Amino acid sequence: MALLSPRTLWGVLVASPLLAALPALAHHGWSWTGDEWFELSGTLTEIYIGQPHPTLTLNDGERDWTVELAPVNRTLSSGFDEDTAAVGETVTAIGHRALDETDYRMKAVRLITDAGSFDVYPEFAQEYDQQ
Amino acid sequence: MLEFIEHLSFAQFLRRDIYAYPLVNALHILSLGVLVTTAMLMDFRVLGFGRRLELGATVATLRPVAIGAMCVAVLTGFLLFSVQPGSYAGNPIFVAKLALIASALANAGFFVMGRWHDRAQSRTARFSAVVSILLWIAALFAGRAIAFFGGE
Repeated sequence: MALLSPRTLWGVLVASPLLAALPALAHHGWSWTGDEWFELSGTLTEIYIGQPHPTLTLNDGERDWTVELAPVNRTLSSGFDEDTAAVGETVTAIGHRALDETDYRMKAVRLITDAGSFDVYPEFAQEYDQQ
Repeated sequence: MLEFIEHLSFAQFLRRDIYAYPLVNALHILSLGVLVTTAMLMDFRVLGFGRRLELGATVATLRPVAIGAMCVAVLTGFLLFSVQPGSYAGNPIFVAKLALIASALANAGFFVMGRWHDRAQSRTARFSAVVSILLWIAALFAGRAIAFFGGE
């Protein structure tokens, strides 16, 4: 305590909320995914279309993958909802997988189900079509 | 119990509504920000910082603000929890966060009940203030970490 002046400690006190905010920069968006396109087909085992993150769980025969979709409003406006696909049916997700390949997780731009194709990120799905 | 919470009508509304969840989320951040800040300002005052502010008046001013903010934080926190109760209850970081908050509140309760701000020079009061600062910062970090680690 004697080593730190009151002024220094006040500085630490003021700066600590800023430090706490840092990891938030890494969470949302696409920073955690690779640039390469990635396609996954699997059996739908779980479906959650709600706040804070709509997600699917797909089993590719070896393991469960977590597929993150767009935010609720964007996912719903693509026409995809909890009753669009049934647990047990085969779903294909196109998007980008996590950079950390020990994390079986991807973020989808397009979902293909028995009911059709759903672009939860239409602007990126268009890029996929144009490649 | 978790299933009961999950089926409550406000939980189902929050899960699907585009605006309600971000609004509750923002109120949670606002209230926990006020709570952690006022708690730490009182703790630092007990430790001898900001002596130009009289200790009794500082505590009398900030404590009701901290308690009010805590009530809002608990309420909004429960609402956020209700959206995916099973997922949070099974997340070790969320459980750790609750334990840290319970410890911080127990420490605060001890300080208030013992009227330790009247004996701010004492070793016990100063120790309690340091513990409070550490617990609230740890709880805040644990809360933020829920979104990044320990989830499915």
